[in-house]
This record gives sequence, C-alpha cells and structure tokens, in this order.
Amino acid sequence: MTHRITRHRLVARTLLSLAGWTLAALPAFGQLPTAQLLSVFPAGGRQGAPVEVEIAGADLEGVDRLDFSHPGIKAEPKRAAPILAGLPGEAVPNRFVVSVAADVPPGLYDVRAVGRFGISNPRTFAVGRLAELNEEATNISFDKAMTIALESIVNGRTGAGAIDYFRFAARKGQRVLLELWAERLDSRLDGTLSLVDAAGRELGHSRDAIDRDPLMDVEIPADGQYTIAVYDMTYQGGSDFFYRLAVHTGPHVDFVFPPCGAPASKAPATVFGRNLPGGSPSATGFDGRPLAQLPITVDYPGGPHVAQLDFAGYLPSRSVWLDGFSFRWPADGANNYLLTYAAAPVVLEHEPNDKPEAAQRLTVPCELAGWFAGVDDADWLQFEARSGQAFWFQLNCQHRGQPSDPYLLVQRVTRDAQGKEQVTDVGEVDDEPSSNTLPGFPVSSADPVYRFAAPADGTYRVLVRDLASSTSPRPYTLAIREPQPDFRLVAVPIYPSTAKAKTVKPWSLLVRRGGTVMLDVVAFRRDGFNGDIEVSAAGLPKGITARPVIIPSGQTAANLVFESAADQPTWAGTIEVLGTALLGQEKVTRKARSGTAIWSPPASQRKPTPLVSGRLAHTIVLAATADESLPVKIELGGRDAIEVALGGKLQVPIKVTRSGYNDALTLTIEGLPGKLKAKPLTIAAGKNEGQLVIDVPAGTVLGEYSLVLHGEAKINYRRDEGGLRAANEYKARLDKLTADPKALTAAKAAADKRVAAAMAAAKPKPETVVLYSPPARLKITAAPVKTPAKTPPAASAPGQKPGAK
Amino acid sequence: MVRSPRFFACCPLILAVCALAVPIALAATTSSKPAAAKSPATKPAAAQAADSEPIASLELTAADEPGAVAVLSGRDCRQQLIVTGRTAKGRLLDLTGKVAFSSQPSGLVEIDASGLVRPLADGQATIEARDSRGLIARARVDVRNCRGDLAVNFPNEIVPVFTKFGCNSGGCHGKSGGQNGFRLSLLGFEPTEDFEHLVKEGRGRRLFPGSPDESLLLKKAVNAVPHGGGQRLAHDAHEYRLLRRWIAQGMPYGTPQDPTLQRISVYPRERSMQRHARQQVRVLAHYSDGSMQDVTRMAQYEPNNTEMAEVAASGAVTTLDLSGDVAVMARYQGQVAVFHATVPLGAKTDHFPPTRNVIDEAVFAKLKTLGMPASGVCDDGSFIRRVTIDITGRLPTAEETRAFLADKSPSKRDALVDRLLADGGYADYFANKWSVILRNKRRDPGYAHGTFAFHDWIRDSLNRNLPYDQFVRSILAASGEVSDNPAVAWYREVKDVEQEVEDAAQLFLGLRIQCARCHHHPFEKWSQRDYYGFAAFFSRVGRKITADPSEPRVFHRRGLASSVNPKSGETLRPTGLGAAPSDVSPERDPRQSLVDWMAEPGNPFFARALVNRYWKHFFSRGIVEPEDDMRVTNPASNPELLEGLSRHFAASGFDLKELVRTICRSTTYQLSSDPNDYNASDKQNFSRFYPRRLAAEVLLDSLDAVSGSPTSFGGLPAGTRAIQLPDSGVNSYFLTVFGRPEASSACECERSQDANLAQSLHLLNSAEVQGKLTSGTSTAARLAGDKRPLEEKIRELYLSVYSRPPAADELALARAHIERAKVPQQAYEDVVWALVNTKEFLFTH
Repeated sequence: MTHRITRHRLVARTLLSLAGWTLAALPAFGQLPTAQLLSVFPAGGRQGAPVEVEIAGADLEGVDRLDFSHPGIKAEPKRAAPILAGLPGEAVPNRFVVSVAADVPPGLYDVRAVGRFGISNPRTFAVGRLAELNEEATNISFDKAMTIALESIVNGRTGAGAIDYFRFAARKGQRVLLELWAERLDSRLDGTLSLVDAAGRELGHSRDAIDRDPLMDVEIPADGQYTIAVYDMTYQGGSDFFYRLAVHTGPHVDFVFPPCGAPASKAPATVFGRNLPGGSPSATGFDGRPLAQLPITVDYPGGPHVAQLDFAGYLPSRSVWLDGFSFRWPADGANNYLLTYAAAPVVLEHEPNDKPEAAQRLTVPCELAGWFAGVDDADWLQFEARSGQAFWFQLNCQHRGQPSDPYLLVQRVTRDAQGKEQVTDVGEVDDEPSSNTLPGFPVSSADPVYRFAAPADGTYRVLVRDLASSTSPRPYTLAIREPQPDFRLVAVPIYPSTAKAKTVKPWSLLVRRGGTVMLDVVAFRRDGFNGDIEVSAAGLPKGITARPVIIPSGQTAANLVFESAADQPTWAGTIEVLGTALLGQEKVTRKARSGTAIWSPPASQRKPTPLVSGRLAHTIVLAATADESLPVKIELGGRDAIEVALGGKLQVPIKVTRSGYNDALTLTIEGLPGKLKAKPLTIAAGKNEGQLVIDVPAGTVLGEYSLVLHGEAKINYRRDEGGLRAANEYKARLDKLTADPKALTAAKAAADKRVAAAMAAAKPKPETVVLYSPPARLKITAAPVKTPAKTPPAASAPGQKPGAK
Repeated sequence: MVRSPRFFACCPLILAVCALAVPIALAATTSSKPAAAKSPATKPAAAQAADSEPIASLELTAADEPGAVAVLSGRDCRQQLIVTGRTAKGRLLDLTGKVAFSSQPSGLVEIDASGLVRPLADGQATIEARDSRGLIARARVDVRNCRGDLAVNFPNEIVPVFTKFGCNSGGCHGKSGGQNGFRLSLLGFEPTEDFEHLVKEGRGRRLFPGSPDESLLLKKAVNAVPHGGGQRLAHDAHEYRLLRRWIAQGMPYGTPQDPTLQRISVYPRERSMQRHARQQVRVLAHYSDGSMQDVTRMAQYEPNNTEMAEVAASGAVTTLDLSGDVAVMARYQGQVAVFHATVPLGAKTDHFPPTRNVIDEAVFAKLKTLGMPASGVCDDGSFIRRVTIDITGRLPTAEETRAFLADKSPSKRDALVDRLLADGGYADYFANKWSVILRNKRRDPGYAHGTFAFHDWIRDSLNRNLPYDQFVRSILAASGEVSDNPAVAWYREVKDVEQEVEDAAQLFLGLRIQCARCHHHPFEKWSQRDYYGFAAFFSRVGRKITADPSEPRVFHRRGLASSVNPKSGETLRPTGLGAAPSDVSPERDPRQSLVDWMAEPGNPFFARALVNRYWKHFFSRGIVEPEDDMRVTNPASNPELLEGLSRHFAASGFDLKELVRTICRSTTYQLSSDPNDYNASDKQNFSRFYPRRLAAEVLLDSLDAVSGSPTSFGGLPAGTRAIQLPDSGVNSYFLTVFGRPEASSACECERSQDANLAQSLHLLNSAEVQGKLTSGTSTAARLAGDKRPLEEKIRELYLSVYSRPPAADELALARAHIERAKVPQQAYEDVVWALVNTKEFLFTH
C-alpha cells in the first residue's frame, strides 16, 4: 500500500517537474515545496487504543513526526525491521502508530505532519469512544456488504462510481443512529447514507443533517440484518474521500438551548437529543424523528476564555468570529456542542409571536435565544428605547452551523391622533457585507449585524426570519447589546499564488535560510471599534523574527512577514499571533485564531465548490529549515519607521542581497494607504539597490502603515537538499561498520540507490518563488506648520495646496 | 456492426414459427397485442333504433330557456330557433330543420327553413313549429327598434366580424406586425387598438363614410380590390350590411354607457346524439345591461375531436362515425362556451366486470351510457407485467412471476400493488418522471452537484410518500441553497418570472397560460390580468450569489408582492387563477400563499391536474388530454371520473401512493388490452387497456435484465439502472434514440413515444444489443451452461421476457432450434434476440 502511494506521488511530481522544464510557457506553480497533508487514514481512533495510520499529501519527504493539537495524542513512525544489526529499523514512509490516551475527550483534533519540508497544514483526527475498524475494500456491492457490529465506528473511503455497503444486526425497537463524518473531517466526500432492510426496503435516507454530513435515526422495525449504503452525492471517490461511520445506540446531542450564557455563570439549559439517558419526549424533532429533552445546568467559564473560541468540533471558516467553548453531555459520551458567551442577559423566545401584534416584549439590552421553527416562522419582538440610545444587533444562526439565511427588520411603532398604530421601517439587514474574505477561507456571512440608534423615545419592533426556510428547527441567538467595541483576529497561511498562476490550497509556513514567508491576518472589528491594531508574533524560535505590523483604522487586514537569519536552525512548532489595541482607555491584547484552507478546487471543476472551504484550526504553526536557503533577499527601508509629512515625498531605499541569483527583479510595494500609488520598480541584473519615491499628497489619511515589497524570482532550485544530506550521512555511518560484509554489501547497494534518487531529485530546475521584504513602518504625520517669516516657502505658496507645485 | 450471417440465417425460422415474434413494427402503437391478434374491431351491430321511436311532444325555444320571450332588437338582429322532439322514452331529438315555421301576426318576422328568424317590423309575434305528424310547439318573440337604426357599437358588433372571418387571426392581420400594413389585434382582444388602426391609420383611406361601399375595408373584403386573403364576404352578406351601416353612421365606437359582453351561453348544453345525427345549437351573448343577443352565426366552433363531429358555420353540429363523447367549443369575443354531445354505441352493457372503487363506478357508468361493453379482466401474467412496469419501471423477474402465478390468494393482486409501492423501484420510476418535468438538467458540469441532489430529494420524497401538497410547497416555495435544500434547483433552471408562472401553472394546475402573457388566451378565459396577478406570487423571489456561482441562494425579498399588467399598467396583487386576490403581508413569502391557495380543498385545478397526470401514466391517455392542458374547451372524457378520483386524492391528504394504489386496484386498470367486438376503436373511455411502448429507460433496463448484460453508465455505480439516472446528462445513444427527454420543459410531451426506423435497426442489429446478447455473462451464456432440462430453461426465458410460460408451439419451436444448434450459446442468443424483437416485449399491454 505504502509503496503504491509513494510511487504515485513520485510519478505526479516527475510530471510536474517535466512540465516546468519543457513547457516554459506554462505558468509554473512556483512555490517551493512545503509539506502538505491531504489525508490521514483512518482519520481517527479510539480513546486509550493505538491505531496505525497512513498519511498522504505532497512534499512529505522525511516526515517522522505527527503533531496533534491535544497532548494526549502521540504518534511514532512505524518501523521496519533493521536491515543490519546495529542499525535502527527504518521508518516506513508515511506510516505511524498513533496512541490516544484514555482521558482524551471524544472530539475533533488537528494533526500536522512534520518533515524536511516543514510542518504541514492541519488535518482532522477524531477521537471516539466506540470500537473502530477499517473498511474492507471489497464491500462495493450489496451482496458483499461488510459486516460490522452495532456500537462501532468503521473507517472507509469511497471509490469513484462506487457505493460502500455495511451490514449490521439489530433488534426490534432499538433506536439506531448512523452518523457519517466526512466534511467535518476535512474529507472531500459529500456523504449520503441509505439504510435498507433485509427485504430490500429503504428505511431511511440522509444527506446533509449536520453541516454536509448525514445523520440517520432509525427505529428498528424487526430483529434482523440491516444494510447501510455510503456514497458520495455525485459518486466521486478516491483517497481524499475518507469517512468515519458510527453505528450506535448511544446518546447524540442536537442542541443545547439556550446555546449561550453569561460568562462565569451556572445557567439552566435544556439538552435536546436522541437516546438521552433520562430524557423525556420533546415537542420538536427532525425529519419526523422526535428529540428527547433533559434539563441540565451549564457551567460557563469566565476570564480570558470569554474572548476565545475553544471547540473540539468542526468549525467552518464562517464561525470564526464566535466566542465559545465545547460542551459535552454526558461528559463521557455524545458529541461536542458549541456554547457561546452572551453579551447581555439571556432571554428565551416564546411563541406565539408570528404576528406583529403578538410581538414578544423584551427589555434591552438582552440576548435572545430563539428558534426558526418551520417554513413560515416569523419571530416578532418588541422593546422600548429612549431617543439616542444605541444598540448593536448581532444575530448568530449560520455561524452556529445552521444552513440558514437570517434576516432582521427593525420598525418604529407610533400612534396617530386617532390612536391607530403607525409603523415605519427603521432598518432592514440581511447578509453582513464582508471585505474579509481570503482565498480558501471565506468568512462572509448570512448572519446580520446592525447598529440601531433610537431616533426617538418609543416602541420598536423587530422581525427575525430565516429566508432559507426549512422544516427543521434551527436555533439562533440575537444579541441586542450596548456597544462593546472589541476585535478578534484570525491568521491564515495563504498559498502565495504567482501573478500568472492563482490557486487555493491548504498551505503552511516554511521559511528557508535567508528567506521570508508571509501570514495573512484578518481582523473582525466589533461594535464599531475602529482603532489601530498592532499585530505581532510571539513564541518564535531562534533565528526567526517578525516585525510588528499595523492594521490601520478603517482596515481589516495586515501581513506578518517572518524573516530568517543566516544561521537559523531547523525548527517546527507552534507560535502565537497577537493583536494589541486601545479599547477605550485600556490596552488589550487578543490572541489570533488559526484558519486554514481545506482543499484545492478539484481539477474537474472550474470553480471552488462549497466543499472547498476553510475551517478553523487549533494552532498557528511555523517551520524553518536550515537545509535550504534562498539565493536572493529583498529589503525595504530599515527596521525603524519611515516618517513622511503630508505634501512630502516618501523615499524608501530598496536593498537586494544576492547570493547566487543575478537576474533583474521587478518589485511592487503593497500596503500603501488610500490613493497612494507606486509603479513597480525594476532592479537591473547584478544591481543591489534602488529607491521608491512616492508623493504623499494632502488628503492622505494620517496614520501608521505597514509596507511590504513583493516580487518574483526564477531560481534554480535543488529539491530536498536535506534528503541528500541525510542519505549521505546514512551512507557514512554504514561505511564505518565492518561486521557482516554480506549484509553490508546489500545495505550499501540500498544506500547507493537512495543517494542516487536523492541526487536526481535535487537536480536544479527553474521555479518561481514569491518574495516579500520584511515590512517597513511608515508613519505619516500632520504637515508641519510653516512660518513664512522664519523659513522661506519651500514647497507651497500661500493659498496653494501643499504639494501642488 | 451487424449480426453475423449465422444470425440472420436462423432468424427467419424462429420468426416464422414463434407466433409472437412478429418482426417489430414500432410504427403502429397498435391497440391489440400481437400475441392475441384479434380480428380488427368490426362495426357494432347495435341498433340505431331511436330514429324510429315516435315523437311524443315538441318544444320550441327562441330565447335562453324554454318559454321565455326572445327580444329581437334592431333591423340586423337574428335569432336561431331550436325545435326539440321528445320520444315516449324521453329521448330528445333535434327537429329544427324538419318542421314548418309560421308566425302570428304575419309581417313582423320572417323565418327560414333552418329556423333563423329575422325582424321585419316592431311588435310581438307568436311563432309556431309544426311537424309532419301535426305536433305543434310555440314561442313568443318581441321585435323592437326596426324603424330607426340603432347606433352600431364597434367592440360588440364590428370586431366579431373580423374574428368570424379570420381577419384578425394570428396568420393574418392579427399577427404582431399586421399584414401588408394593416394590423388588427389578435382575435379582437383590443378593440380600441383596432378602432385606431381602422379609422385613423392609412390616412383615412380605409373608410369613406360619404360612400361606404367605396371603403377599402369593404372592397378588400369582397375582393373588388385584390386582397391577399381573397374574398371573405359577399355583397349581400349580413356582415357586409353591418359594416356598411357602421361606416355610414360615421364609424361610431360606442359610448362608455354601452353594455359590454359578459359571457356567452350555448343551448342546448348537452345532448345524447346518435351517430350521423344533427343538432342545431344556439349561442347567446349576455351583456352587462342584462340584454342578450343571438350570436349563433357570429361565433366560431371547434370540436375537440374532429373524428367525432363537425360543425357548420350556422351552428349545426353533425356527428360522424364514432361513438363516445365530443365537446364543441363555441368562441365569441374571448368568451367560450361548450356543447357536449354523447354518442352512444348502443350495445348491450348488462355484464361488467366487478366494480371495485370510485374509478370503476365512473368508468363503467360512462360505458353504460355509451352502450360500450368493457373488455374482460386481464390474466395474471399480463397483470404482473403491466403493474410492475407501471409502478416500478421494470419487468417482473421470472421468480416473481412464477410465485405470483402460483399464488392462489384472491387478494394477490392487491398485495402485489402494495408490495410494489413499498419497493424502492416506485421511487426510482416516479423520480425519473418528476425529475424531467421539473427540468432537473445538467446545464454544465458545475450543475451536477445540484442535479444529483435534486434528483435524490425527489426520489427520497416519493419514497417517504411526502404528501403531494408538501412536495409542491417544497418546490414552489423553496428557499436557500441547493446543498441544503435541493428543491431550489428548480429555481436555478426556471429562471425568470414568466417561466415560473408558466411552469407552475402547467405542472401543478394543468393549465397552459403562456398565451395570456401577451394577449387574452384564445381558448380560455385567462387574460393578461389573470397572468400577471398569478405572476405576482413570484414577484419577490430573490437570488443571491454564493461561493459557488452555479448554486445561487433563493430567498424571499421583503416587500408587497405585486406585478404590473404591461397592457393596462395596472398593478396587481397575487391572485390565484380564477380566485380573489390574496392578502399577503410584505413580510410573508407570497409563494407560501400560492401553495396555500393550491392546496385549499376547493381548488378546482390542483388535485385534478395531478390525478389526470398520474392517470395518463397508467392509462396512456389523460382523462383530459393532453394532461396538462385542462380547460373548459378541452373537457374531460369522463368528468365524474376526474372529479371522483380528485376528491379521493384530496381526501387522502394528497397521498400519492394511495392514488397509485386506487388506480392499480381498480378493475378498469386490470382490464384486458384485447378489444371485444365493440371497443376496438375506443381511445378515451378506458373500456380496455391501451398498450403503449415501453419508455426508453424502461426498455433499456428490461433489455439489460432479459439479456443478463447490464449497461454501465459513466461515473455511476455498477448496477445503476437507466431509470435511476439522476438527470439527462448521462450519455446513451440507446436512450436518445428511444426518445428520452432532455428536461427542457415542463411538458411530459418532451418524452417521445414515437417509433422510427433507427429504433428498429438498433434493436435488430446494433453492436450494443448484440453485445448484450452475446457477452460471456449473458443470459444465453448462462443458459447454455445450465444443466437443467431444456424445457425448463425455455420456460424461464419466457417468464422473464413476457411474464408468461411459452405456448406449446412456442416451446416446441424453441426446443427444436436449440437442439439443432452446434453451439448452444448461439442458439440461446437467437431465441433471446427473437423474443425481444417483438411487440409483446416492447409494449406494455
């Protein structure tokens, strides 16, 4: 198996390289190799049990470490028997034995592969409490269904144009849940489940019950054998189409209501779910299957947790701005449910409120927990406000994973002279417009955000509706809070597309000696917060630095650039990205969240499908390699901020440090404020210096900005010099050994082969790399006040605009 | 690739001796199944006795009801008399042309032999009709306004002339650009425009009030000046006089106080007629002031079945050679009324098969009225084959058939229907049907995700037996994204309001209202006002672009739902067809109100449209045909059947499986397709089962099943059958050649059931079919290696292909052929090939 996958990867890479060599006109995918993890199979394991996994991806050379986001999960490379006494057994490429400690709570964690090309993007690794087994590949016809037991999880992968079948025995009256995990595990599978009884009758069918993953809930009609069909919606398949299918009679939590509570409080709530021990029937259900309910008390954390999102479950990129935590009930089982912190006293929605005249009375501020409960449900609310009072409305439903399209209408209610009610619209909000979308990490949202300012004392009415109406209940929260200006950050490594080849893929940061890498940081400004946010990195290893950058007022993004010193050692690990800003009088620091793209758009599709989306990860990581270095480095200004006054000229020196790269470079500057423009600057072949000159006219917004220089260079790249070095070292060790000449000969032959392969791989070939300078700080200050008597006019005559000469 | 010479050499033998193996002639959708080639239905020997029955009394009507006084107002007015004779047995016969008329006092009116009364002088007269045996009937008329002429009213009197003579038809001056510079509104729906064109256009040369006969309008009409349309009027015609008088009066338009046309009525409304009999009808126009005018000779007539009746311009209906029901539409100025004639066959109908439910009651009652005996109940083999194909879109297997034939239970047919309805095949087959008319179409590769999801949703809804009103609501009021709510895929394909209006009306109401988008519907009451009032339901459909541009998000845009009638500029509220405007708040999605209206118990279209659509699925012909063109002027062949079954369907909570169950359990559905002596030419009364060719997908699946060689479809799992394909985006020459639809419209007519040479050739000698017959895993290969006795294997073949055992001669022949063969597999291939190239295989019967 390993051999096959490895060979395939080699073939693929050779083809790519050939394309680079022979078809120079084609846009080369320019980036130097960086470990990319596409699948881990099986994508999970059981508490307290070891599991052998196989990883697949790109640029996974020398991967000997898997990093998990939970310390209780560890992996060791799977080792083959030593070929020579005295030598350790060779690691079997891409195979690991993962051990999950018994106390790791069930949930979803991140795993990253660490090898010579750094630390990869994350993939999800699930921890469960049920027995696990892997699918047999022969189960692709009904007759050859694989037999599995109830209360187990089977790990599988669909084949193209194929259906996987599983068979289990169940007894009459059992409430069996079939839950397929695929999208939530970073799989490309758009899973579909169907359950058929022994007579061939379909008992149930499920597609997108939880996100895009199916959940089937069946009351077994008679003792007997039942067959599950698992397939991709459009019958696609392959190693990227992995899944976990849980078949069990244990508890499943659908909702906790209210899904929010005050920080540092013990709050009563109701769990809605299936097979809940001690549950009683509820009035709600899905697809005709009733849910049980059970009163509980939720312990909401306080302190710094309140500004964090700490969830051991699937969080698509659109959920990035929630603050909340994983809640699990009962503690030893069931699934994680995301609870959020309420910004105001929690109020529960109560029906009937479908008509304006039956609007539910609220006292604001508050946070309403409600339901969209059917195709035509309209929730009308009403509150009193005084003239000038301002509130922020924030509705969270789609963010909570519901496929909803919420909508808000705010009206003012008055009475005319006859006492007749008059209604005027005050505000109407649908989707939140977002300029924050990053490639592969969409954060635009259907959840409305609205600033309400009462135009007069009086009564105000709110309509909450779901425009994507559904028969299933969908819980939401609506905060109506006094302004609490704040911000959140997310850091997402974006694949650096060259000018000619734009693409999206899961990406990670690997900095080579003398080089730089860039990390996109996006801010969510809450409740009108508009101050500067200084973004910096912490926890960096020796030899790596990142100059702090500014997200200026009015903007939402900045780029952190990590630069490597000439003596930087090889390293891979977790770092922190921090944002600091002045909230009122208080200087507040927030930790950035981590985001990742999940897939490249499949080649067969001309555009990203909804399945190619981003998600939140648990950690921000960085790697550095001492094995490779870049032959060129660009710098913009120095470490000190460049100051320029309105009306002045910005003159920034550009420095190119060459160590083997002598071609011309065309460089553009990014991050200039407002309307400032600079033409690309070309540094001629062999030259090392240049200067950008930019006029800073009056009217430029004052403030501090971060500028980055950007360019592309075609270099001759020796792939995997680390691999070559390792092969040579290995051979050197062998040379020292004298015992057993026969085995030595065989081992030597293998080592020669390995060296030859590494040599071939390291043959130079043209590649395009994207370069970034470390950021320079630009400070634009107010134009200096000129006193004609003391200083003769230099730039502006009186009455003229500064800089208008 | 053609069959090997070996194949052709042996085939004539097989064909000659297998009584069934008539070389396929798909061209004829024959009504008798080949296996039991009955002699062609002979003319019934039923007595046409009514003519000889003596008339017991006479009745003369001049006005809208017997006994009323007819008012004749104005010199150019005309009134049709109708004389009806009643026999002792209560039969009614038209005697209008067979009596002598006279009037008292004389000089007030003149009456011609056809019973047409013209006024001569003011006064009240009594008209008398006397038959040859001296029976007398009388009626009174009141003649007014004969002295001075009344002012002509343009919309009420002149425009109908243009309609009557086809001047304003779509092929002539009525087309949008007019004809040779002269334009009239289509069928006169816009009299003010017509008035403008006539009186003000062409620099006034069309009309000369000073010398009316010199008017170009009249000179063209009588072809005195060369006229592309030839002579339309004679100099002495009533209409010529009317036009001349209007011109002489200075071309008045009429005044706002003038009465306007409200409706028309036809008398009599229905009659039982014999074949080759005549019935005069009278058409009255009813005006807003309560007045009436006889427009019998101005109306236009059209029978819905031209094989059954023809109508003269005078309004005389003549039946032809066939018996059954015929409806004659009378059309006048956008108003329609219908005369229904029943032409009984008159055969003895004492013995009907057992009546099992509402269907049989209505069908057999109708057949009794028609005097048309039903065929007998079909045998078990025919039933299991027919019902398995019709419910699940596949052939029964040999084992299923064997077990069914052996089953002695009296309720085994009902049990079979229930079993098939519980089978996933039911959902497969009906999802295939719905997916096509819901236009589930892969427009480009990016659509595949949505089309798969929508097909899956349809199939699952049917499998779960989602009530039909909820099914329709899920589609028409769909919101969200395809991934979360696949039914919004309908809005992806049906993109603009017009398409939404027209598809919704055609699919769920059985109404084609396309015409009313631009002008009043020519054969229906639907006006642009109706069309745009209906369109208002779709006026708040919004679409948002999502991450995937090929999957937009559909939503309700808040606001007052309305739509503007482009002709009048009037703003219309959402209004169900023929209903009062709905009161929808700006916050509510009007599409929900639309489905509320549809699913109301009293909705006249919703349940009927579905029942009729499903009826056609099982009986090849709708109770109204075409099934989605239901209108007053295209009445049901059995209104009680449509009404009764619709009521049953609505009362069941729109339970689709219950409807199928009711249909398939009825004796009517289980009648034999073999005609008896009387019903061979019946095409609409369901006196027997009408055979039809298998649909393309069913045929391919059947061929796969019989040959043992399944077709594989690219990208889909092995074992996927043609009826399970998610959309028409899966290539298959076989399916194309046999008429698989492309899902481009809401009409089931897109599926072609026609026959052509390519189909015959494909079945006879294509590489595809030969491959299926001769593959290593084919049925032939399996049987050749099977150690069972030969006879048993032949029996199994017949059971799997025809759902019946072979007849003795068939068995002997097949046996001889196989025993003679040097290569047994080839002999089996020959037999399978011969069996599938027969009508018995290709048709459901």
